[in-house]
Amino acid sequence: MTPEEKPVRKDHIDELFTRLDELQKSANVNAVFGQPVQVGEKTVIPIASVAYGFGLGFGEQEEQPSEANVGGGGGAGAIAKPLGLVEITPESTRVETVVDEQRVIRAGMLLGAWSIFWIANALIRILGRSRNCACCAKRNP
Amino acid sequence: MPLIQRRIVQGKPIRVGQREVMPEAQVTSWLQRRATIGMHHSSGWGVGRVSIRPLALVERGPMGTRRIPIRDETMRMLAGLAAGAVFVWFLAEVAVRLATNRGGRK
Repeated sequence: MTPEEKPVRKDHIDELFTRLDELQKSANVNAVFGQPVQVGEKTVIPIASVAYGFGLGFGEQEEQPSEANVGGGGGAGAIAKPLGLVEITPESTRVETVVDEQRVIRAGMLLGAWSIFWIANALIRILGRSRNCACCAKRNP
Repeated sequence: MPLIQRRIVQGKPIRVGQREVMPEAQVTSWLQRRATIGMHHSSGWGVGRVSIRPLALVERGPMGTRRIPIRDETMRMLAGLAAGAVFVWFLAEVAVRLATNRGGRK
């Protein structure tokens, strides 16, 4: 390793860390509050919740200092969910929230299945069928 | 640097008549990064996640300052259903314990 090569390595790492910090700090209010829209006397602002994830990486081999020995990559994903809207009138400000019905219905169905499972489980344990049923009797004569 | 950072950010105020409405959001971020410098190679990686959630609207006007919270109704409903799931499990366990104890006394 020559002394000239060390700063190059540090530069790559510094750049990676700077990019990561930028991604982390780039989050601001504008991501969740949309542009105000004027509708007559009302001002309407859409609101959402936003989440994103990212990953970056690089590696370099120093035996042959050339471009081919340096590699890197990254990826990112984001999700935004509408929460509702803000309605500002000359008299008042109010927030109208929306409910993701599909998610709630799916969770409700899951809760139904969960409840049936635990009620059936409790009944079987109470009535003692788990010990005395035909299948268990065959297995443990 | 802490693993998870949480900060509250405010946006540009929106003027409507004599009132001023300022949006407020909560930013939760998580970042992990590593770098390795060896004799013949060096490498680095980093992963992170950022979630931004609207918190409230701060309204300033002739009547004073008011904070209007923004609630995620979907999450509240899901939390209610989750609480219901725990309650069903708890009830089932209590019923089994009571029935088993009663049987044991006989």
